[in-house]
Amino acid sequence: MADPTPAPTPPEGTPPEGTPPDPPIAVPHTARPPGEVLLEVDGLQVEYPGEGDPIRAVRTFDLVIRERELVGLVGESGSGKSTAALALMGLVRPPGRVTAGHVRLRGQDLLGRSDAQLRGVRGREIGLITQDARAALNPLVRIGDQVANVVRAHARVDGTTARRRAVEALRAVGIPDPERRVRAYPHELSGGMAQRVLIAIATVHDPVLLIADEPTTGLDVTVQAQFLDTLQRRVQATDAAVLFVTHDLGIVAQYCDRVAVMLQGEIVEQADVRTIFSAPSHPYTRELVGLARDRDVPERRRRDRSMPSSQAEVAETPRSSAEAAEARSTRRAGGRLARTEP
Amino acid sequence: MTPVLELDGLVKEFPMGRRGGVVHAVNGVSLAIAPGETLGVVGESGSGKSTLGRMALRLLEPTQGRIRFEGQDITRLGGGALRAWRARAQVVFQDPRDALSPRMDVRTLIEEPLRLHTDLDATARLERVVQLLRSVRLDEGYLTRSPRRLSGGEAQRVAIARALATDPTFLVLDEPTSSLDLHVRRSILTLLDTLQQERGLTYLLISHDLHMVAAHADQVAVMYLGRIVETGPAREVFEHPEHPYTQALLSATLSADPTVRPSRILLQGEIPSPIDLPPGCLFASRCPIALDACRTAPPEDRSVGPGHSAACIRIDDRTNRLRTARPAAPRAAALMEASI
Ligand SMILES: Nc1ncnc2c1ncn2[C@@H]1O[C@H](COP(=O)(O)OP(=O)(O)O)[C@@H](O)[C@H]1O
Ligand SMILES: Nc1ncnc2c1ncn2[C@@H]1O[C@H](COP(=O)(O)OP(=O)(O)O)[C@@H](O)[C@H]1O
Ligand SMILES: [Mg+2]
Ligand SMILES: [Mg+2]
Repeated sequence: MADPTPAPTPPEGTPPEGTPPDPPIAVPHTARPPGEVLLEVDGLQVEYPGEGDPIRAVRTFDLVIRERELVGLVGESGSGKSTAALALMGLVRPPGRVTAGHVRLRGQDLLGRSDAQLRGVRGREIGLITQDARAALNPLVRIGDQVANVVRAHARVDGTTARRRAVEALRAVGIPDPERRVRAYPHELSGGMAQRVLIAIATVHDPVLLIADEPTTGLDVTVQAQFLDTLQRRVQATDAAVLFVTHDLGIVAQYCDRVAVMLQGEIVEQADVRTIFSAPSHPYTRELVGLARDRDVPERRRRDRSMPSSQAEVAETPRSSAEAAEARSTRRAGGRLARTEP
Repeated sequence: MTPVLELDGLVKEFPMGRRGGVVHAVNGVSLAIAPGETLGVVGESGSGKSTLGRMALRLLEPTQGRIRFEGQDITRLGGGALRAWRARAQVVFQDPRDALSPRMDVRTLIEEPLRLHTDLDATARLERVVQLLRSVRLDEGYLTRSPRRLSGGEAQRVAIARALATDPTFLVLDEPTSSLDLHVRRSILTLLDTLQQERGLTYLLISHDLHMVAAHADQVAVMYLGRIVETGPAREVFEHPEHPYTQALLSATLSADPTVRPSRILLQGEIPSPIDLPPGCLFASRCPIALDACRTAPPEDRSVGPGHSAACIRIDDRTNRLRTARPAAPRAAALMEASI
């Protein structure tokens, strides 16, 4: 039961009870800098047939991803990000085709391989989370079976073990009540839930390279944070790497080591994350970074609207103005009022 | 002033088929939106935002509760009266391509609601379609285009024009910019703001993008598993979040500045299943400061300021603040920088 007597008002400037100061920055001993080259992409080009000339969806694409790296791939829609991501796994669907280039995973050429060989690589060495989660799931198969099938595709386990691992994989991506939810069909899931199922499928075999095409668009930021933290830890622990297609520059700024910027089928700029944000060289990158920066500061403060860029800054914002003090005391008064009501 | 929309104890349960059981999608939501205002509904995917929006528009029958529109109870409105009312409340979805049939051209798409709801003749309809296109900043050149040949932003403008065709007073905007690029997003939001001011529209703005809601909503309601855990003026809620979930949500927004070291509330624990809701506070399973009492009965709303309330028992003795921490593993690159 709550204490009916109001707590004494703390003096101004004292943090409210229950708010200990931030702990010192913990640098985990597990975090290590990028290692060996994992993926190497040279001169990748992909075309789709168009009404007249073919659509050159990917024209200039050279990229190296090392172990333990999270590489962000940003750019406006239609710039070829998803096509490039699919091409890395030999998944461009006809009539689209790769017209030039090499993709090597740990030195092994991927594009020259047969479909059967590629199937062995996909899911086991490279995991893919596609943009449209619902379309990627089979509408006729229960989600638990879909995950279990992927488990069995690359591991010799019996049905019971596969189902158990499916439940665990679903739990790990924050699907509530996975024991029960395994029976659901994709259409019974919200978009974000479908996305989590896809994440579970893509990561169930701990792939060395995860290609994630806007994987967190439907996720709540608290779940997104958990997912990204897990991803980062996994990358560190297993020497894996991630190619992260996203339009959320917050994710890029906070989680990626390096960034490649695409515009009309070309990677127009590639740099470490600090450089991209502090000294973007391409005009498009400059525009993008500018837009993301003022996303942090709302463009319009109509009436009473505003939001600081992050909670950290909320805490640091001095609340010394008379207005803020007044707002606070009103809130306290409101709080007390509420307590005296039956 | 009479609110445009009032929801009173709305509940939506989806039956789960032969095996029995229900999904508790919305669990007793009450709210009101004043004319010309924007109420932002934030919450994670699956928290019931779209279900709530669809009930408000009578596209989905509530299991319980009442809906009033401009003071009139429309919960049981049916037949011709419901059809007529539909002209006044419209929706814009996340993916404009879902709303725009690829078999029609832009003109036919915008004309369709005019055929349904007005007795304008063909000439007058065309004139109106052109006007609507202009109001979303598109020209006549678009009349004969197929939605397939529109960019995401153009398609969303057409979807907005279509929603405005019958001159509604109220729009549900369900993640209206989530599928769009940053600069397109900006222009669509500016358009929606302008239209609101020009036409005195009232918006229910559904989004998981807190920055967007902060910039464009007057009031905000934070949803978690089908309940509103905190509601109030947008500025108040975002600057002084009281519910632990709101605090966690705000602390998890990522700054687009790599030099800002993230510091946030780390959550653990599972999100309960909407099939099997726990008896107490729905956030208790992930709440770092949950008490035994939190798990026994749902917390009532506490008033924490003018028009601002939150449902957390720890507000009573002001022990509802969560502590922030740095995430465990910084970027490898950040680590290298730190060691230089
Ligand atoms: N299956 C397809 N058939 C024809 N054109 C396509 C197909 N998929 C993508 N495209 C075209 O290729 C270009 C790049 O698209 P995409 O790779 O999806 O970009 P992004 O992921 O950056 O939005 C666009 O012009 C798009 O219209
Ligand atoms: N037609 C339906 N049948 C069964 N469950 C549904 C249906 N529509 C939504 N749900 C469930 O209701 C809950 C709320 O979904 P929704 O309103 O789409 O959430 P949001 O818009 O916040 O992502 C989710 O658990 C979802 O799976
Ligand atoms: Mg894409
Ligand atoms: Mg929704």
